[in-house]
Amino acid sequence: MEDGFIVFENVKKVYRAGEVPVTALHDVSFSIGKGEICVIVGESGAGKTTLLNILGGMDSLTEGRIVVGGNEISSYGKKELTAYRRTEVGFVFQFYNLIPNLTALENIEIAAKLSPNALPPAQVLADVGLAERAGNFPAQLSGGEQQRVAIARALAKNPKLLLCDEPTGALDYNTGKAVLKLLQDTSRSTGMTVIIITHNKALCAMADRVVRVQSGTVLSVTLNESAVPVEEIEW
Amino acid sequence: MNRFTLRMLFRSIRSGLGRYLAILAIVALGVGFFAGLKSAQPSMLSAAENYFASSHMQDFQLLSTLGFTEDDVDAFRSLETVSSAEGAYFADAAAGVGGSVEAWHFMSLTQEVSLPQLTAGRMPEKADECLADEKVFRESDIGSTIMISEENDGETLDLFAFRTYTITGLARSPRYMSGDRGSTSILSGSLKGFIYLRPEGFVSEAFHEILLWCDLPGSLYSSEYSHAADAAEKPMRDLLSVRGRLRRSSLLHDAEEMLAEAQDEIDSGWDEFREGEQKAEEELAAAREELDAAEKEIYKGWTRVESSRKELEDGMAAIPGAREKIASGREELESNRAQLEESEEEVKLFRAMYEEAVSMLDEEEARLSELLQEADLTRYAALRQYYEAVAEHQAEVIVLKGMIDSAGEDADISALQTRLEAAQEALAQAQAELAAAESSYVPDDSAVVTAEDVIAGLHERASELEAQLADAEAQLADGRAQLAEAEKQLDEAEAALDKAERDYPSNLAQIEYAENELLQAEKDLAEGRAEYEKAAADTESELAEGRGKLLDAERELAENREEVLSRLSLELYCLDRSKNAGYVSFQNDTGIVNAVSYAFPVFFALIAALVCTTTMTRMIHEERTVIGTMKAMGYGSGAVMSKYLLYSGSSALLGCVLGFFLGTRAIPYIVWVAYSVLYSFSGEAYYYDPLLYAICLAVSVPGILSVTWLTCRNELSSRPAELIRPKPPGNGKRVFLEHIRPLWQSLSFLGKVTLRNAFRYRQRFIMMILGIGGCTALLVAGFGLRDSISDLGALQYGEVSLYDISVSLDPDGFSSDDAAAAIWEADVLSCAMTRQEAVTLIHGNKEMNTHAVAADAETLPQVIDLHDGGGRALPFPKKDEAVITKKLSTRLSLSQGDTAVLRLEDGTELPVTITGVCENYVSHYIYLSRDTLGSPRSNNALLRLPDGADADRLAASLRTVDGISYVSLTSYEREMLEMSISGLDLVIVLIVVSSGALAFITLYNLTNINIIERSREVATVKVLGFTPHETAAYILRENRLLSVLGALLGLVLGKLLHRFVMGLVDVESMTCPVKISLLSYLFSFVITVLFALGANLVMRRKLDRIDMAESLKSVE
Repeated sequence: MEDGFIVFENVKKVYRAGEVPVTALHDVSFSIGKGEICVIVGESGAGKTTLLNILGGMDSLTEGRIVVGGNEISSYGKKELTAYRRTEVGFVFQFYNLIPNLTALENIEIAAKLSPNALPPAQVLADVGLAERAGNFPAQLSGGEQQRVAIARALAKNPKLLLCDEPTGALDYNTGKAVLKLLQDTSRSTGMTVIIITHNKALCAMADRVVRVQSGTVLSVTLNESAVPVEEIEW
Repeated sequence: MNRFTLRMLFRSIRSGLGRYLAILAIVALGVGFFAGLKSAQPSMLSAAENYFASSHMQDFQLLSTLGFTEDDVDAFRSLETVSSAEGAYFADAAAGVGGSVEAWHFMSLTQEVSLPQLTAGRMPEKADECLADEKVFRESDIGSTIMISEENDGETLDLFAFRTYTITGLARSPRYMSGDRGSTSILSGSLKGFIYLRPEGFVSEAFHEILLWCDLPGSLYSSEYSHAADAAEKPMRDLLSVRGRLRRSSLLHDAEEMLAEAQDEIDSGWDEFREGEQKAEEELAAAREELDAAEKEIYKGWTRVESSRKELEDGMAAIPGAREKIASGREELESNRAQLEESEEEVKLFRAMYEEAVSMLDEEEARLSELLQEADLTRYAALRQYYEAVAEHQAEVIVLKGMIDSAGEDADISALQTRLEAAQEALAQAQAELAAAESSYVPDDSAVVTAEDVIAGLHERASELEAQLADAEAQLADGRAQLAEAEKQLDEAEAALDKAERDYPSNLAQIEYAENELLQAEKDLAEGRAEYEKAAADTESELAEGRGKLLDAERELAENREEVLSRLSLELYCLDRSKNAGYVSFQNDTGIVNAVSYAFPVFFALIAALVCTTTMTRMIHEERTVIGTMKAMGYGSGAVMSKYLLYSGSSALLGCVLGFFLGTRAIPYIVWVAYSVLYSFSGEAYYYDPLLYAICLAVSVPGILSVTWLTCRNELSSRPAELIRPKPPGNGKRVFLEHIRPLWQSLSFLGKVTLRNAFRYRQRFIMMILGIGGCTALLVAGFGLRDSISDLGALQYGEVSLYDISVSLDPDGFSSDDAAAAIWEADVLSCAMTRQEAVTLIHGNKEMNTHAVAADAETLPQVIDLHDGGGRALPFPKKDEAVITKKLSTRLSLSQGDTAVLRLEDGTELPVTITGVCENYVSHYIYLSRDTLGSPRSNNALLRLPDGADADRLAASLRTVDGISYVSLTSYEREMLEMSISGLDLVIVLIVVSSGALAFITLYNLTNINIIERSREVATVKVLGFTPHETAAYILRENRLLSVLGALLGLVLGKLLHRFVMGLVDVESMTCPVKISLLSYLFSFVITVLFALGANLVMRRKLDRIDMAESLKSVE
């Protein structure tokens, strides 16, 4: 596990909504190693989502520097950011954000089309255990299934980085656990860097690294040498 | 509804102003276009009506070939229906303004009827001042002069009091409402413009026309007006014909006298000529007879000479033969002579025998006479005494008779007598005694008898021999005579031959002389003939000259007569407004504008309803939690509903009011601008129709309200708990195309998504298709309208009326033959003589005034192509059959095989069978066979010229021919038609703009809602790494797809709409083909797609602005 696959250096983000500038992030510095499972945990409004937006290439930062896999994405323009999202990042949303008008398989395909080194969508769908639901529309799937399709969609692009925004937020306990297990297993088996953003501190146990965020800045970064399998976590 | 809900309403409006304005705008647009176009026609009509009323535009124009007097005008003025009557002068003349000479229509200024309107300068005050056509002249022309050209014919020149007129002002005339200035018989045939002169500017003993203003009730073109006009026309026509005849009879009287004198002179000339001719002919006949006799003589002479010469030659040729014959004759003669000598010897023998017999006889006789002398002496001796007594007594008687004779008268002879008697008695007794003695005497004569017998025997022998001798002698003499005769003949023949031979030269000379004589006679004859011929020719030419002179005089008289009578031929016309070109074309144009107004409301109403639905649906969806909360707090459905009803209702009301007033002002103005190029009168009138306003309000506001109610009803009936919870994600659906596996799999991924999305939201799908389709349909209808109408010229004059020139003939004029000659001499490709009449066609309870064209089956199809809608040629009607144009067929519900009644102008009614309905675009006709109307004379000729022929020149020259009353050029009519149609172009622009607005509103509205509803999806795909371009494609491709589908549907809808609109362009004088060109379809399609792309561009910006962070938000 090498350090510095993802590096945040004094990142600052100021929103100019209306007259008053709002500082969402300041003095954020930490790094994440390749193949790690990193949990970024904090209360609502601590700045987790802003952090995710910036890391996901959905938003720009005001100051500081972010390096992902040796590339300084903080200096990227809109086009480069799009390309970055396209090939290097996989997103898993709290509300799955599957495209309602596409079947499970198609939802994966739509992502796979974008990446040059994409995995075969059907294979990925089978990997998440939903091979037989390929032709179903999202509305015909349960929440957990939807989220598994969403993860498959993210994985199909074969990204370097998997960003998960409260992946269990809309799921019940058992389903949430199953989804987390999928994420952990994927990371362990493929060596993919997985970043999970959550307010649920219980998840910290499954992480290799825990970044605690509070009031727009990093409170602590803890390495967890003895990450436990998801099954053993209770909350 | 309380303050709270009201405040919420205002906040909703303010926060979603765009949405509020969307409803307002669509209602305003719809109402505006509808009301605007709807009032365009009435607005134009009322402007025209004001203009006509203020200028006292004539209701009737009366024309007479003989003009009118002041009394005539007074007579018309006194008619009950007539408000004003005024006599006026006019003339078409060539005149120059600054060099170029053109044809102008000069009119006298009127004071009461059809008043010109001064647009610049001042009215003319002097006789040599004038007002000029404001369409042609500019203000800078005021002060310049118009010169009447000397090229005009004398009659025209005489009409003008001056040669130059000064322009003091410009004017427009209600009689020239459109740009059509009409045609004329001079110069190129078309009039450049009009010029108003003061009446004193003309020199004419009679008015040329009477203008009547009747101030009839009813608005322009209304049936009320036309009924009033029809009612007024009847007494007018009656009076017109009375006045016309009156005028004619007075003029005719003078003319007849003059002509009669001239005719008398010519008649006497003819009499003289005929006398001379007869005399000359007689003389010539006598001479000819003489010559013929001489010729006959010569001929006879020749035959004679010929026969003489032949005879002579024949004679000469016969001479040697004759001589031979003579020689042989002589030989024969000699042999005869020898025979004759033998016969002589025989005779001599006979003579000897005979002489011997005679001498024997003589001997015997002498012996007998001795015997007899002895017997006699014996007897005398026996009877002597008796003889002597008789002789004695005879002597006594003779003595006595002598004594008696010698005694005198008074001697006494009685004694003598007695003695004589006794003597005579004694004689008689003696004689008796003698006789007795003689008879009693018996002589002894035996010797005598023997002698006598011997003699008798001898006698017999002698006479026998004598006879034989005589016979022989006679034979001999005969032979001798014959011989002599033969000899004589031979001698004569020889002599004759000799003579002939001797005479030959002199005979020949004689014949030759005769021949010479004949030759001379022949020469003389030839000379005589030549002389005769010359004399005959001289006479002939002299006669011809005389005849020519007389014919010339006659022709001249005929011409004079014709001229005088043609000047006196009375033609009367009572022309109502429908004969005014401007008046008619204005009606057509406004009719089209009116029809266009029907094209809009349908689609705008639909689109307004759809826009309202989506807007309100969206609004309610957005506010579902608010609604739920309110309901949870205890507000009733009604209270909640009222907010939305107020929201949309107020928007619709505002939109309606705004749209109505903007539309009714702006659109008639725009239309008016388009047509003001064509029509010369100003002052468009604002036309406010409360009914129209009420309709707009009654349709738009309740319409929007009910749409709102229907939309909200479902949502509001939900229970509050449902409303507060977020809406579950929409269900994915397969589209039918997926079931066609190969097709679906061949689609690109984005293609599949697009298709799914496109068909996913049915409501949006329908709206999109209808909105875009409506746009295309409007465009198709608009362009199609233009196609249908602008092609009228090409269709009518290219496919139906093939003739280039229509010539009206005076049917009863003396000079129609001249006219016919002029037409036949013209270089035409084909020519049809027709009889045209105004007729009324009646079918059932419908009737229609139309124009009958009676012609011949051979010629008419060459100048008018009678074909049905499918382009199939229709057979020319036979007797009592008719082909009618489409307009008549539709208006009178007549179709092939029906029987209609044709009412002629004189009231005669004829049943005709309709054998075909033909295509026709301008005006309407009924085509008949000439014999259906009883084979009347032609009053019109339709000429078709070869390609490249100069129709204008021919028309101008035909106009000068007597007997031709009017010549119209097809090209000119077409030009006028097309000019009037060009006003339509701005109307088309209006349609394009409005349909563009329609397309844009639809697309904007729907795409906007689409984007808002799917902003989360958009954000997600953006996060997934879609480039802006891909994102736009992902969302907008379905717009494109739907636009294309909508546009395609629109092409079909447009065709239907076009048909509907064309059905409304029901102007009597036009039949528009319902046709749309391919190009129009193409344009409509392309324009729609461009509008859609424009709307997409706007939407794309909106897409770009969607924040990816949306994707992280919770669902609703």
